[in-house]
This record gives sequence, structure tokens and C-alpha cells, in this order.
Amino acid sequence: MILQSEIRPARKRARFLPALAIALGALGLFAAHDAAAQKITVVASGGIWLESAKQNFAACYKERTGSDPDILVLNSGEVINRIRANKENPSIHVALLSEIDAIRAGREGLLDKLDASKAPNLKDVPEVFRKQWDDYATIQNFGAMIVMYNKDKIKEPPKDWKTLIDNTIAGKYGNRVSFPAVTMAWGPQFTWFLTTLYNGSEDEVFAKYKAMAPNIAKYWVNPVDAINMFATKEVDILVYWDGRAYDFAKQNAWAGAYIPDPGAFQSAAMLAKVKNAPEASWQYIDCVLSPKAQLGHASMIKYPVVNSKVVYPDDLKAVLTPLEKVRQPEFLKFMDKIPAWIERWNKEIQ
Amino acid sequence: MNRWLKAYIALAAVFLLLPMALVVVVSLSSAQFVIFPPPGFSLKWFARVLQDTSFMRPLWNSIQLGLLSTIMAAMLAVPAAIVLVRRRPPGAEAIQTFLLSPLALPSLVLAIALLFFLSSIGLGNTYIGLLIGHVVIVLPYLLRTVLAVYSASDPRIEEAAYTLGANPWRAFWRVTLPAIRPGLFAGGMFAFLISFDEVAVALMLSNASNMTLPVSILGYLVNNYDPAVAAISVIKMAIVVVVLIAVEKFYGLGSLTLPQRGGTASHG
Repeated sequence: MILQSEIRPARKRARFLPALAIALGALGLFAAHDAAAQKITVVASGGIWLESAKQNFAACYKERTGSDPDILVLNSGEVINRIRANKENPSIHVALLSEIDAIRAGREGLLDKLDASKAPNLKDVPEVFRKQWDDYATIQNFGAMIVMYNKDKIKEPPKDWKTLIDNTIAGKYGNRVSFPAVTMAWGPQFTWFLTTLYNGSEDEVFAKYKAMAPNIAKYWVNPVDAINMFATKEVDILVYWDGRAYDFAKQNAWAGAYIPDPGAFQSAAMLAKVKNAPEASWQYIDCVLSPKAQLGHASMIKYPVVNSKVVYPDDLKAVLTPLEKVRQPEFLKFMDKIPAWIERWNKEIQ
Repeated sequence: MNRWLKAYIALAAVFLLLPMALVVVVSLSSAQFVIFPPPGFSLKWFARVLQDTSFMRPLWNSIQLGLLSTIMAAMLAVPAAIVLVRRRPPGAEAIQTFLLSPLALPSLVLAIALLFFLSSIGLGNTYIGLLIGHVVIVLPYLLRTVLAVYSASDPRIEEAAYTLGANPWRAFWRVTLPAIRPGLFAGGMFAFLISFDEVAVALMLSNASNMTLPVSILGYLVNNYDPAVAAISVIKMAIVVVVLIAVEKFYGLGSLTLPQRGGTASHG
């Protein structure tokens, strides 16, 4: 009987070496493919946001440099992980981050400070959009969390947030109301905003969350679930993003959207240049902040942008939350409390 | 089969098929939002996704990656199974457990670990890195089924081939491979489907040119609430169904079941 162990080593090598050569060749081809594709990589959100990034930002970049950027659809946490994984040779060059991740990334040394000599359109971005981030990032566009309601069911929507909360606690709307959960990505910002309505008291805000709970259909975490609940008329009042809310109301006559007094908190997408990214990244950042691309972006996504030279047409202006109606969260004051807030939420409310 | 068993099977079938049926109905909705029941029917979401490169390119990437990772995993699983079953080297149980260990890890943890490791050797967010990640994910499925089938096969048939003068390659090609083919095919199908559906590893390791369909769908879902996602999901389901029908037509799903004859080893 011939056993496999009896095969002579030389014959093994003779078979193994060509196979190894083929494998290495294949790896070489993959590596060459990756090397050939090396260009700047930027981040966008999905769907209409991705379309806007292609049509407005990438088109401008191509006009200037002759090449297309690679656009990745990722959320802020995934972006941060990728940058942390390879600081010397980052796979992402222009990042789109949440406000808090942008502060953390700046502190960790993952970002370059924005430089108006390299991205001249930065000069037209007011300081308020960059100051809390110590110039490591700038707001690209911002939104606000407002109230959507079913006009057929809610004849007199509450004028201000406190009345909405008190009416919900009193059961005036049944249990057909939905607020964001603290565990939602921008939930801590909303909680901070509510503390500003209740003398800065976190305890009072959590007491309100608890008191509202029996009359809340769902504290939502996923924005798509939330809008679906409203669209299917499972809830009559939904606290939701302004751009999407106005867009929905425009398409559905029974739906309304408004900003309760005294306004709303600002939520933003932060644009930043990753440390050790190619110099061409500045061109992309300058493109994103250019008046033409900013207006194109606002027109598509229905959220306000930050270049002070942008002039909105009247129909667009009507559905954008004005800057004076939004309050920028004081991230540095509350960001370290977020883990405790989430723990408290999980223990007391959920 | 008694009445209760039939009712139970029917209930299980409804439980499995109903969510898919709902996705199909929503994909045909004329509404701008995911509403059930839909106010009317339209094919506009299919037209939309078929023209959208942000769905179609990832779909093609997913098919390629699924096939390639399955082939590469098979190239690792088959020799591993042969050694583990016939040679029983010292520590065979430990080696087998090690090779199956990706099943025990949460895929997100595995994805982040792979991202940091592959980045440290220069393969982070490259196609090779993504392929390695998917091979790691799908290998246990292939190895498990090949081990089960190979353990149940009779080693004397291979020994007979050697006795009759077959060299190892010929014995493998003529005897071992036909014996493990059902396991290889079933495991390969599992492996392809696992890769085709995988999100976490692709989310961390893909780049703009090799983004997979599940990652693209996830990115779209986070920011959009129209039925386009249902339409692309139906296309994805259709591909899986077509694969199964093709397997049935050309190979026969029945032949993928494990051999009835008992074997000498205890794997599986």
C-alpha cells in the first residue's frame, strides 16, 4: 500500500512551488488593483446624501483635479475605527463625523487643523461652526429636531416643548407620541437641550422621560422606524429631524411639521481632514465648503449649510430651520456625562 | 403524517415565508414610504435600484466576493479535513476547535480585530484584506460539513485506491473528492450565502470600490425610508432562489444530504 507520507519531498516541492507562484501572482494582481485605485477617499451618508456628495462635492473636485474621489458610506463610529486602525496611512482622507466623535478625534490627534490657506472657502464659514471643535472640524450642514404631527388628529399642536411634554404626561394624545431615546445617536444632545428648558436639571429631565413613558408609543432609536411609525399613523406626534419632516409634510397633506418654542438644538455633520491624508484632501474640503456646492447640497438634502455666501431661493428657505432658531449643544459640558445618562436611561426608563 | 404535524409544518413555513412575502409586497409599493398595506402597486423602485450604481456595483461585488471566498475557504477546508480525519495529528481536536472558532466570536468583534490586525500589516481596507476576512468567516461552515461527510466515508476505499497503484493526487481526485462532494457542495453553498449576507466584516474592511451589497443597504437604510431597500432585497432573494433552483436542476438538492452509511470517526 502506498501512503501519502511516502511521497518524496522533491515531488511535493515540485507541485507546491508552481501553486505558490500562482497564489503570489494572484495576490500581486489584487495588490496592483488596490494600488491603482489609490486616490482620496471621502465619506458620505447613504441615499440622497450620497447622491448629493457625488453631484455637488465630487463633481467640483473632479473639475479641479481631474479625478474622482472614492466615496464611502459609513457612520461616524466606523470612520473613527478605520482611522484609529491605521494612523500613519489612513484609508479615509476626508472624514464625516458626529459632533462628539469630531471632538474626540481632534483630541486623539487623528485630524489636522483646518487651514484657510489650503481651503480658502473656510474663510466664509462663521467661527461658530468650528469653535467647539478647536478648528479640527467644521460643520458641513446642520439640522434640528422638531415636531411632526397628524393634522387630522391634532388640531392644536402645542406651541412649546414644555407644553408638549406636559400634555403627553397628562395623556392628552393617548399613547400616540414618539420621542427619541437617549440611546439614539443624537439622544444625548436632545437630553441636553431639554435640560436647558428645565433649569439645567438632568434629574428633572429624566423625571419627565419617566412620567411620559406610559403615554409614549416608542422612544425611538432608529430614524427609519420612527418615520415609518408616523407614516403608518401609529403615532400622531413624532419628534424628528426637520429636513425629513418638512419633506414628508410636503408630500402628505395630513402631516404637519413645526419648530416648538423656544427653538431646537442643532445637530450637525462634521467635516474634517484626517492626519496624514494626501494634500488633495484640502481640495475636496474646499469644494464641500464652496458656495455653489453648498447650495446644491442644501437643495438636495433640505438642510441648512454653513457658507455665509450661500443665498437660498425662497422655496428652499421656507423649509430650512433658520440658524437663530437652533441652539448649538455645549458638547464640552455634557459629553463626558453621556455614559452615565445612557446607564440611567437603561435602568430607569427602558 | 398526522394532522398536527402537517399543521405544525405549515405554521413553520408561514413563519419563515411571511417576512419575505411582506418585503416583496412593500417592494411593489407605489408609496414614497414603507407603508403596509401599500396604497397602490408599481415597479418604480425596481427601476430605481436597477439604474442605481450604488446598489448594482455592490451587488456584483458581493457575488464576486462570495464566490472567491468560498473557493479559497474550500482550498483550506479540504486539506484540513483530510489531515484531521485520516492523519489525526497530535492536537487534532484543538486544531479543529481553532479552525471553527470564528463561529464563537461576535462578528463585530472579529471585524474590528481584523481591521486593526490587517491594517498593521498593510492590508487594511484592501480587497485582499476583505477577502481574508470573508474566508475567516466562511471557513468554519465549509470545514464543518466537509469534516462530517469525510468522517462518515469509509477509509478502506482510499486505501484500496492506493493499493491498486493510484498516486495521492489520483486517489484524491477519483476517490476522496467524490466522497466529500456532497459536504463540499452543501458547505460551499452555506459559505457563499454567509458571505453574500455578511455585514460586520465588510463594513470594517471594504473600501469604496469593493463595497458589498449588505453594507450598501445598511448605509441606505440609516438615512432613507423609501421602499428601494425592499426592491434590492427582493433582487437579492431572487439571486439566492435562482442559485438553489440551479443546484436542484444540475445537481439535485437531495444529493446534498449526508451519506446514510455510518463511518469510523465521530465528527459532525
